[in-house]
Amino acid sequence: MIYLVSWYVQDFFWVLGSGKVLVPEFFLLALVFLSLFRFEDGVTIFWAAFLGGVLWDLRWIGFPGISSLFYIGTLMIVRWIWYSIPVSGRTVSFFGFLFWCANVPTALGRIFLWGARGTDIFYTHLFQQSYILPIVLLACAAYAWRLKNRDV
Amino acid sequence: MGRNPEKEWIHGLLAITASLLLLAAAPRRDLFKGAVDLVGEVLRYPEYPAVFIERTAKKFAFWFTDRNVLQDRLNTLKEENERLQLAWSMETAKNLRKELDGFVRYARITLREPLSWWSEVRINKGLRDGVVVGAPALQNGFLAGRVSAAEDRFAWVELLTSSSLMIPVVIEQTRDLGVVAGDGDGGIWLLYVPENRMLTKGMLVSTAMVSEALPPGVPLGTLSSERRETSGGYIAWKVIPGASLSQLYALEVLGSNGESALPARSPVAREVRRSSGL
Repeated sequence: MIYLVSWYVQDFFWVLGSGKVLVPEFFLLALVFLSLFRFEDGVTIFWAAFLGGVLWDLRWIGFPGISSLFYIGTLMIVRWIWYSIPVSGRTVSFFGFLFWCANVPTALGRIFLWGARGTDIFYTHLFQQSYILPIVLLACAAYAWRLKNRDV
Repeated sequence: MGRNPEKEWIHGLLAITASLLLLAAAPRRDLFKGAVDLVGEVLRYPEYPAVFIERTAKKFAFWFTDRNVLQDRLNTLKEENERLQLAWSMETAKNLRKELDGFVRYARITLREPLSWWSEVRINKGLRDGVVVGAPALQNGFLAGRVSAAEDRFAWVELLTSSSLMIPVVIEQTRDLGVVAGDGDGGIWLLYVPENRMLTKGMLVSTAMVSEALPPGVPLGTLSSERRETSGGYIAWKVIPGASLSQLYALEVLGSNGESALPARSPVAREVRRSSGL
C-alpha cells in the first residue's frame, strides 16, 4: 500500500507540475525509508522498486528500465551500507544523511534527462533538494521516535 | 523471518538484470508502445484530480496575468489621457489668450488673486493705452467694476462685488436712486432705497448721472427677489449683475467720453479712427 501511495503521490505532483517542476522522488524515498526500517523486506522492496520504476518509465519517460535500474542500485547500496555498520552506529544523523544521499543519483539522473546541462544541473538539484528537506526531517523524526521506543 | 543477505543480493541482481534487459530493448519503441498507451490510459483516471487542479491553476494564472496586463494598459491610457488633457488645456488657454489679445478694445485679465477674488483684477492695459483711474470696466456691455489704479502697462480694476466700491445707480423703471455695493463674497446689493418704494424683481439697474468719471446709463444688472431690511428704514435689494463675474477673461474699459479707452491697433481701425477725428 505504501508503495502504491508513494508512487501515486509522485505521479500526482508530476502531473500537477506539468513537467515544468522536478518533483521529489517520493517513491524512492519511501522505498529507502522502508528498506532502512524493515530489516527483512529487502526482496519485496527490490521488486517493488523494479515495478514502480518500469511503470514510471512507461508513463513518463518512454524508456523502460532506466528508473528501475537507478532505484534498485540505490537501494542495494543503501541497504549494504546501513546493515554493514554496527547497530550503535545507526544514529539519527547518519540515517538522515543516508536517506538524503540515497535520492541524489536518481535526482541528478532525472535532472540530466530533463534537459538541464552545466551549472543548471547544480542549481536545479539545489532547488529540488529544498523540497526534500522537510521529508528528510520527518523521516529522521520517525526514526528517532522508533529508536526512543526501542530503548524503552 | 530474518534477513537473508544472499537471497536479497540475488533478487537485487535479478531485478537489475531485468532493468538492463528492458533498457537494452528500449530503443525498439514498437515493443513498448502498447504498454505505454495502456499505462497512460489506466492512469488517466487517478491523475484526473491533478489535471483538474493544474488546469484551474493555469486558468487563474492567465486571468491574473490578463488582469495585470489590462490594469497596466489602463494606467498607461490614464497617464496618456492626463497628458493629452493637459496639452489640450494649454493649447485652449493659448488660443483663448490669442483671441482675447485679438480684440483690440478689450483688456485681458492677467491676475486675479484668490485672496481678493471678489475685490479686484489686474488687466494688461494701462496709462499708455488710455486707461484712467475711475473709468468703468464692462463685460458684455454690463458694468463689472471700475479702474482703481493704473500704471503704464497695466491697471487694477475694482469689481462690483468689492465691499469698498460704491456706485450710484438708478432703477430704470422707477427712476429711484440708490447705491450699489458689494459684500466681498460675490454678492451685490442695492442700498439706501426707502421701504415704501415699489420695486420688483427684474427691474434694470444702471449707473446714475451723479458721477463725473462714470457715464450715466451703463447697465449693471437686474434686481432679484432677495432683499433685506437695513437700519434707518431702508431696504437692501440683491442685484443680479449682468456681467459674469465668475467668468471674467477680458474687460472693456470706457474712456471719459463713454467710448472705449483702448485704441484699436489694426491698421483698418486706425484709419477709421483718424478719418472720423477720434
